[in-house]
Amino acid sequence: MLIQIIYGLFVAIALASALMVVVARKAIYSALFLVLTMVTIACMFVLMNAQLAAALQIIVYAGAIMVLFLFVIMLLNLGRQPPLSHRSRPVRWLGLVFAFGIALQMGALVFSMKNMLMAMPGGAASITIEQVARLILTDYLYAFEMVSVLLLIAVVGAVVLARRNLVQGVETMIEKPDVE
Amino acid sequence: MQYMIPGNLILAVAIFAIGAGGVLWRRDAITMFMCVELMFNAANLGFITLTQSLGRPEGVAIFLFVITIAAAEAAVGLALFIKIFDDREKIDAEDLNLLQR
Repeated sequence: MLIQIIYGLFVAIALASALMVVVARKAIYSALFLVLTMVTIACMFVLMNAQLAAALQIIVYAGAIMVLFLFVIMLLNLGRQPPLSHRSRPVRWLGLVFAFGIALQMGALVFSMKNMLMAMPGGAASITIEQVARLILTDYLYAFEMVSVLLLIAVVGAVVLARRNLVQGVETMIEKPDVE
Repeated sequence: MQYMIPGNLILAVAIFAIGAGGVLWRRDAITMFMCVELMFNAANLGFITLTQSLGRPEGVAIFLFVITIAAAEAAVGLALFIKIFDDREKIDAEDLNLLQR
């Protein structure tokens, strides 16, 4: 009974904070509510007995990726930026209708599978790191290698893109090597 | 425990829809990016829920790949935003319409 109350609480927090990500006025509030959503989803993983996924969610998502977001918000000083122009755009409402349609369709799919889902053995399985590692390094080896190459490309691309005046910087370094 | 499987899936659907709506509704690119992260999270929730109920490790492996791709996407996207911000003083998705002309 207690765990049901906790679960309901987490569902409410996750939905409310996900909604706040969208409606919050400043980017920094959106980021902090996104952290809350991620932590709540990690709590869901713990309730589902998926500790590995919960730890990765906290470390990689709520830790690394969100720190990246917060750094960029800090660098760009988005809190002080002038408000965006409020041109009316009817396409936005179409977007809301589209999102509602997605929710309706996928929700209907889950509801239609309700009996099958309820019959599943729920949350009892504990998946070890060893199982996951064995799977990644055998069946999913090529996907694993491709993803690591993708990550390398992304890191190099981010450095090249974000650096200001890359060519000029290299030229000054060549002209004055002692400046460093 | 049984109620968590459909419950989590419905929650994942709801978060995904909120994220999709946010991408289409918001105009500053950073918040749009955060909504994309919301959609990634919803997908992860669905993967982990189903993989735990089936007792198979495949979903956790996919979860790892999704996290990696989300990290790569965030790094490149945010670097692009810094560059765009150098040019214009704000990142308004409405103003980035160079390809529409």
